[in-house]
Amino acid sequence: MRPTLPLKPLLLVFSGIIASPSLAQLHQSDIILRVTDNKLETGWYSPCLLAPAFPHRVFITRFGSFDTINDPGFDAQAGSLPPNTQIGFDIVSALRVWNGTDFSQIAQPRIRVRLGPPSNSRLTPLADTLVPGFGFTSSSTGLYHFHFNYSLLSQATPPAAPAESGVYLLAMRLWANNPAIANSEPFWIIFSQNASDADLAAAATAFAAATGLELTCSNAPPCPADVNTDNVVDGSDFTAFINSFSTGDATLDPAADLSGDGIIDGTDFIDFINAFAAGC
Amino acid sequence: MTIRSTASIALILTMASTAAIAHDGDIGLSWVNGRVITGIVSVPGPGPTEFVIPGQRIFAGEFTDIAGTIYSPDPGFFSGPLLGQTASALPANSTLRFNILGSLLRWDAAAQNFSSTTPSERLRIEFAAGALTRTSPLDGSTVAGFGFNTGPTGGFDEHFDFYLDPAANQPAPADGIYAIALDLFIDGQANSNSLPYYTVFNFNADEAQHDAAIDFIASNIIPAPSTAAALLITTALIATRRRRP
Repeated sequence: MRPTLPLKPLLLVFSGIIASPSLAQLHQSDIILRVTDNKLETGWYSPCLLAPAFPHRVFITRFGSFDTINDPGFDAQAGSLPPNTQIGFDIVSALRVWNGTDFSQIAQPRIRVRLGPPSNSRLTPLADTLVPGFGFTSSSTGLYHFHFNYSLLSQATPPAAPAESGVYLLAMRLWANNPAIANSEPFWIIFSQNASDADLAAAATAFAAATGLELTCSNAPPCPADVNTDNVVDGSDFTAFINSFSTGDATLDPAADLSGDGIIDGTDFIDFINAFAAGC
Repeated sequence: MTIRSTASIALILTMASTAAIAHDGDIGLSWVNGRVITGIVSVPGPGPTEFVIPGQRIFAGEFTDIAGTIYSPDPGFFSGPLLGQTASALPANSTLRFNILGSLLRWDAAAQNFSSTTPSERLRIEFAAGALTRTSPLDGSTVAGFGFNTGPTGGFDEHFDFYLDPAANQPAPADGIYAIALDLFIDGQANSNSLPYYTVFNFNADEAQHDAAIDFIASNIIPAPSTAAALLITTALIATRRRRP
């Protein structure tokens, strides 16, 4: 598929995400949770599918002011988790730091994971041992949306800000206080502390390669804005969408039913405008 | 920039290039005519983006007692485009601040009104794991809050930490419904303050009373454009907010 908005917008978004020292957003990359086959599973909002996708086990963020960030958060839509169930985390091993080649080196700085009062915090261990975490309870509809605070603590005693620059790797897993639900597979959050774009990219790419885990979409991304399926996103797609929109009949043009709900309505219009703006 | 590093950047970009989901109950923020507006966040659907539906000024949170500390991470803030638009999130790379507009209000279930006596509780608002903190006053004065950066796009998902504390020499807060009024503004943007908005917290009280307090604010404190609109807003809030398990 020939892209119409190929690299420039990607780089613009990326440079914004990576360059802002006080970055506190990345809400797009929250860790999405569900229970499937009686097991917790982590996922993400796939830029290829424009929908939650599972599994996904590597996430990237950057420390901001006060060497702290509260992203990625944990999100579950209603019905994705059992209601009124405590979902918590464990830290499964020592914090790692990127040494230019891999994450074999245990970091001396530590990450504190906290949500709520100071008693509700955990420190990464300095050796590979499991640190039991704490949890919060899903709503009566199975909603879950919490942003834990991650703070990088320097190895100085007492810790002094700013903590040491670098790329750090935190391994966690999730559990439920329901014995019928198994723990999630481990997942990893890669943190940048004042690291360069190149170092962060190298570290994340190397980690994904070493583990075989998905860092990006593994399938060719669909192009929902290419309504006339001519492999180009241009004005003819807009015309094609409007023509289909005027009929409202998804059976005549399934490609215009971006939401996939069997009708072409205002939801599809909004989805199309967004997809058109995003390009492919 | 080399092709290889560009490819790596594009690779990592995909980690953060799409839309948010599942923020029911958060405070939707957007930017209209140089002013911060509050609203509800559209229910996530199969489409790629959530939107802010303007007009909501009442939000809800649920306190939890964690080893004697009364805490809530909700409601959070979600800054995004207005419904049907693509770019009306808050100004990028700006500082969003808040004011606390007066003391914490305590719901009097018997009177079906908020108590007019001096509160014996304070609301503490923290950010960045306690690096920034503000506490509600005991009178009608305004407390200037702290700020945080809106990021490179103006879109974000942030959560403050809310604590219900006893005022000096007061016992631990009792179970009940508490409300606080705040407004939001962008640093350096004159007259950008949002209209005051209310967060109504429930600490181990009957959800019916929580609903009653929300309804009271909608009906008596916040001027509504019409009865129908007030009913719609209240219904939307009650339908979307996170309920105490």
